Amino acid sequence: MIRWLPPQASFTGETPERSLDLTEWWLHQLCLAGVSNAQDILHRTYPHLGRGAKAAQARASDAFTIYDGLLPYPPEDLDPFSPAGPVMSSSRLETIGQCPLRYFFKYVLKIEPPEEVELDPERWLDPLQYGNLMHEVFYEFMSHVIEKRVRPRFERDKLKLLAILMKHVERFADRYPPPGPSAFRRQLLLLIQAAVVFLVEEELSAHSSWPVFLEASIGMPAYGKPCDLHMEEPIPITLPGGAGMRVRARIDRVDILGDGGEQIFAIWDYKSGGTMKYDNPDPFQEGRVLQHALYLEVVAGALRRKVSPSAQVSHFGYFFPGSRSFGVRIIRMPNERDTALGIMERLCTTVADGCFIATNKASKDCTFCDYTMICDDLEAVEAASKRKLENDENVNLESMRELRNIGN
Amino acid sequence: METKPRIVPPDEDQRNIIRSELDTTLLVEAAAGTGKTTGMVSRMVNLLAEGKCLVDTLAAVTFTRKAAAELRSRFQIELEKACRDAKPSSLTRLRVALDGMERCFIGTIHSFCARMLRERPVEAGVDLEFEEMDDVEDDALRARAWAAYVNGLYTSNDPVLEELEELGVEIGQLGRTFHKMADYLDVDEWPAPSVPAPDVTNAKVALAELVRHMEQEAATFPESTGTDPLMPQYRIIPMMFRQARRRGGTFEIMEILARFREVKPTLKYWTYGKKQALTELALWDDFRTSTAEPLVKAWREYRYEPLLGAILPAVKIYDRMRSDAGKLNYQDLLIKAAGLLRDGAATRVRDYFRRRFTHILVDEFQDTDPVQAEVIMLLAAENTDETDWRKCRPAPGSLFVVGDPKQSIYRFRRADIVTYNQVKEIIQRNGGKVVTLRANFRTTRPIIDWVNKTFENEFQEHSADCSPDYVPLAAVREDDSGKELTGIRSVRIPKDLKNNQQIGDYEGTLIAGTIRYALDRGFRIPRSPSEIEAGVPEEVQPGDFLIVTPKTGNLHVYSRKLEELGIPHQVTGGKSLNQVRELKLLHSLLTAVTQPDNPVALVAVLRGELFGISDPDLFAFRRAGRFSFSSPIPENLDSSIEEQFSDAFTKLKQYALWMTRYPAVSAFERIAQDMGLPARAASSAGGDVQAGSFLKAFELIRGAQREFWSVADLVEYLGKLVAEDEKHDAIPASPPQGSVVRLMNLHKVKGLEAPVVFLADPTGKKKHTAELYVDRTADMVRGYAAIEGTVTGTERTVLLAHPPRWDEYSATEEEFQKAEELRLLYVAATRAGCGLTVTVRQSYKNRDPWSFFDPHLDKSRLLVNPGFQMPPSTQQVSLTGEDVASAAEEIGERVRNAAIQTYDVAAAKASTIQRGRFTYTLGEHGTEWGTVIHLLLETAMVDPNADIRALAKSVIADQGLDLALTEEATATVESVIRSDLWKRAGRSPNRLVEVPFQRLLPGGEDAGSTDTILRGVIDLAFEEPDGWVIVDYKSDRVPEDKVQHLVDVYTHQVLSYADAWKEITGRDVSEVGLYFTYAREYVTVPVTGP
Repeated sequence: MIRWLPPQASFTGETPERSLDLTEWWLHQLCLAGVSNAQDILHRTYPHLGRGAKAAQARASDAFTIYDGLLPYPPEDLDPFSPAGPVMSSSRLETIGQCPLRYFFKYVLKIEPPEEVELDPERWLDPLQYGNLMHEVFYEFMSHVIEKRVRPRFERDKLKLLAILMKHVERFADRYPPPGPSAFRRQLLLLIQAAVVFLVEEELSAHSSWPVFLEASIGMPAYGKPCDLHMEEPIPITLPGGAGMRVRARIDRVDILGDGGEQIFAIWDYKSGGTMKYDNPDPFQEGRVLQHALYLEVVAGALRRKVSPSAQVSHFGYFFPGSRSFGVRIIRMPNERDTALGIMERLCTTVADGCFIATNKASKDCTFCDYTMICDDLEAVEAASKRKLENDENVNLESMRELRNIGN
Repeated sequence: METKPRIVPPDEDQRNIIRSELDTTLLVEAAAGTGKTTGMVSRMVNLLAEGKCLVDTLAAVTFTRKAAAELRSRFQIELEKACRDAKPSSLTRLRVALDGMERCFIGTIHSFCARMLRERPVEAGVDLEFEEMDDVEDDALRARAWAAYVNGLYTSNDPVLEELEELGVEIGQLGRTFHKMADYLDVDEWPAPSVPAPDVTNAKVALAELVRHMEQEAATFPESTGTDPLMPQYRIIPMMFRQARRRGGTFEIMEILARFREVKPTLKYWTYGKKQALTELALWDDFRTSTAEPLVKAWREYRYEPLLGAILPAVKIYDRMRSDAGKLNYQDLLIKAAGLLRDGAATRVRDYFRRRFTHILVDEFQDTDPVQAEVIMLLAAENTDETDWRKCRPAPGSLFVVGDPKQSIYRFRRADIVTYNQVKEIIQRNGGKVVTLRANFRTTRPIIDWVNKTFENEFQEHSADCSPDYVPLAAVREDDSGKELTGIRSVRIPKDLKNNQQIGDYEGTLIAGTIRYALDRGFRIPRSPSEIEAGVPEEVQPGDFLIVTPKTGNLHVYSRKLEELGIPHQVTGGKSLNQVRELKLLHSLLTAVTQPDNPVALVAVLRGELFGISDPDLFAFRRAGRFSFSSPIPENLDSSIEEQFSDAFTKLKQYALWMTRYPAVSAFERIAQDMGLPARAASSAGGDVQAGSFLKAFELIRGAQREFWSVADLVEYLGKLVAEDEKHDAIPASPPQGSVVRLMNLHKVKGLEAPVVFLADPTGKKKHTAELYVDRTADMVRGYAAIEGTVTGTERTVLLAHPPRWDEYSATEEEFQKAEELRLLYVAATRAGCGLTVTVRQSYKNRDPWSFFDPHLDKSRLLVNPGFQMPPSTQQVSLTGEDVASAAEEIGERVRNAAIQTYDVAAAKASTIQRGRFTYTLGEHGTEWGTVIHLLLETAMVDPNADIRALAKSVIADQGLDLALTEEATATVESVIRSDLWKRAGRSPNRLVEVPFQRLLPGGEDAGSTDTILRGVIDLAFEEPDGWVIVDYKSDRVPEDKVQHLVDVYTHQVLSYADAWKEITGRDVSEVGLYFTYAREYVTVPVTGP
């Protein structure tokens, strides 16, 4: 009986002469018969797969190629050192520092990721939306402080701040409908906690400084009502090698220290997340964190132009009034200016040379990237970048090698 | 009859008990490889042979459906054998049993319970047509129940929300614990004593003092505190403290106290060095142990009662939702069946089932679900009014359970060794026997000796509650010939290989190489007497190898290595399918097609392995146009760039069209084929399995199509496959080969064996943590849960609450888990017949699940590296472009041929009734009425004593007609019965009712006309001396004067029936007639011509 039974059914079919589609025919040839020139015939039949294989091969090699983010002839308008090139911002610089390939996707190919429409039943606002909400609340509250010219006091201002918070929460809830009452409530509780933390810490620090500029836009259009530090034209910076670039920034807040007699200022940037990224002995993290350095340059430049030639910046501070970080402040002094400018120069050189290589540290840089779908296998891309960076024959990767401390 | 000499095992006396003491309840403790299934089957056959029960009342319960299928086939073979060799006294009984084999219940406990519930749904209180739910559906229902509960609380602004918030908890955080508790629906009680709130007054004072000190110290710290875990606390805790004072709740203070955890400071970052660090650590630890930890514990205990109270109503909602939907999950089947038997003591349902299943055999009882034990004990009890299963006395011989407590490994699926021990005790107490099998037939002596030596002291390490005694195995097989593959060996992972990928690569290459080498060289292994009898060759076959990993995650690594060396194999429970590259490419492609507004998806496809467009070309294109495949290709592009984009965009546009035109899965298949993806899969390394898996994925998607409605959902489902959220095994594209290497994880290996076993993948040992403890030692089942919740904004999970004495409960639970881990290792070690290779690591041993074996392995006996191996060469052909083109052409031709219609089907009635319907109906009951009358007449003819009125009622209800018609239907049928025609039929020796037929009417000569198959049913045919009478009943409700018109309408039909009758039977038809039931008139139709 077993002999009488036909062979077991399979995807390869019994004989190619009875195949009813090309898949069956191919599978029979390749899986059962065995084909000596499989790749060759496959690529001739499907030329796009041939091109795809060529790209994959180039990426697997040690050379830095046109499939790895290399533009052999980058036009001048990509060059940050050129007057025709882009005005740099901290997010542009930090993007190069994280991953030049990401910069290529975002600022060169200008691929705009679609807005996330998917609802997470457990979460209302994503970290970006959450941060924006907090910024708007603090902006409005501090505007109120400046206007009334009274230093914040917890007991007196608590209700005021919470009223502002609720107003913005309602606005955001209209714009981003919460997935359910529970997710909304949980985030609201966190927002309230963050507001309380903010106010407690502000009350404490209010004795030594006074806010003067909020949401100062420099080198870009104003946000809401322009403050006195606002200027449309970017700030020029001269880099160690002599080349110049233009920069812009939007600064959450600038305080004047002491009684204001000495024209010494401090810059604050609100962070609603955790301190992980900033709490690091290397303040620049191989070019990934440059906000403080750039802001110090931009604000100093703007102050000299708009306030007084003798105005000085004492420090820059990240302020974490969120529920996770309890109002921690991380302070950066302007004493590492030369290092910072050197890093900026290398970042801009990488872009000017059209060398948009992917990061060699995927675990660190790919977590919040919008383009991981393009890179697909992040570990493989990371490994390829390591190989290519370590290969001295790729001379155009020298700036990146220096940034990442590879080789000598 | 010739009998071959049988080896007499050392435990023969015990085996005799199984075979002969049929009136004794038995619990068989059968150690690994001692032939427990054989014992079970022999018991079943003997029960039948001796007439202790009928095959209908015998039930055998297995752990899995697969095991049930195997048991059934072995039972059949043994039953057939027994019939051949039977004594005359039992031959009849065995023959009857064999004939009725399909009536014997052999299946899992869940299907057993489902069968009981379906037999007595009313008493069980379940929906008459209840549906069984699988885990996926159950999980989804659970999530809906939880959401419904939480939303309900918010809608009604329930005060519990505020109570929870005062405790620092938002209800949504408790969902995780709800899901966990819902796994234990049999828990009678979740004890939650009310505990007073801890008094934090003193702690606040102490904390304030400590905070002042911390602030002073912190002022001296450097800006960066490096990696020291303590120093940042000196900055954060004072801030939290001042904020907490403003916010004012106990919860905020508790959050601070919870930060006092055990830390190991890095001494080097402290301003005043090591001494300062140690002083501060002492201070920290003092506050932690004397103040913080006791209070945090008290706080969690205080919160437990209200938090648990907030979760429990959701369980009720979940119960109600299942009941409303008529759905039973796996637990329900058991719980409802247990309830049916328990409460059935009063209603005699229990007696019914006691008679229905007189003899119950249960396999793998060491992994019994506690409710399963209850069902079995209630069913077997002779004191049928006892409702507490622990007090049940199994009727002598009614119960036979087999298990090996040393192989109990399913605690995570509710198996509980405590229950096993309870059942054992009950059986012993009530005159049953415990039989111990220790003679192992599977394994050769060297391995058995090693297993005994390795494990005999280990089992005593754990308390008797959670670990059984070790029963040493006794060897039956002495042979150890064929040295290459036999005995105990180890693979030692070199120290410098640290990550899992490197380890898998190294070890996989070695194991696959060893197998390839052994197959190519034809290494011999010792065969057991039964294998020799079955003619198994001494040369090792692929099927002689079994590779066992601790978990499923890395099975694909080994599968890939075997595939590369052309070794046929089969993976169980892996995710090799998910790893197929082409599947990932297809997913990217479909994402781009279904999301035309997503340029990221588009660039991913253009830049990737499907189209391979370079970055400068992408840039050049972007300067001129935008990334949207529905947009026109910009002009003035370099021709080579233009060509690539136009090729890609044309394809994508085409695919988007297919998606709207064809069913989703067909569109997917077309797209894959058009892109050449199956061929690409087949041409890669290990192409057979890659291609087979690629195509299997389509079958999975086809299955998923029933659950997902939109194309986007199906693409998302494909994404889940690719992301390995849902794991599937790979399969080859070519027909399956007989003997294959098996590859699976430890939990799947239960009951399986192989001559040569590899314990592989020394990675990912997990730590034991208890989240739940269920105590079944007392009269009630009590559950204790650690309530853990996620904190929004982070992935962190924190312990929110636990019951008092949680330390003890969790320690007990962890002890159970550790004891079970040992049993898992025992299972692993006892799979091998003659050769066992264990892989161990030499660095990071704490991550190695096999490290337990290391001290027991002889370091000098290593698996010999066979060196570089090659897959066997296969016959190769070379294909040309013309081959492909002509294949495509031939396939097109074949498909066109297959589409040509070769025959038609028509209903005789429709094709022969004259056109033009009449319009004289008096009230309309449609075809349903006709069905009723036909059915009643059919029954009346077949069974003259049938109760027409009763039948009419049920048929009318069944057809959805008004029950008031019962009288009319009955009267109509009775009038037919009184008719002459009926009497004539009654006198006939040969009469047939409702005779279906079909005839082939050849197509006409004219072009395009095809053959037609004509189908019909003859209502009544009976034989009279002149020939056959063919009658068709007509139930049309028409006035008498219009009957003639109807005769005209139906004449052709009934004549064609007569023709069919003549043609099919070759007999003469003497009369053809129509009986009009409404007019009560029989009209004959002239038969035309022969």
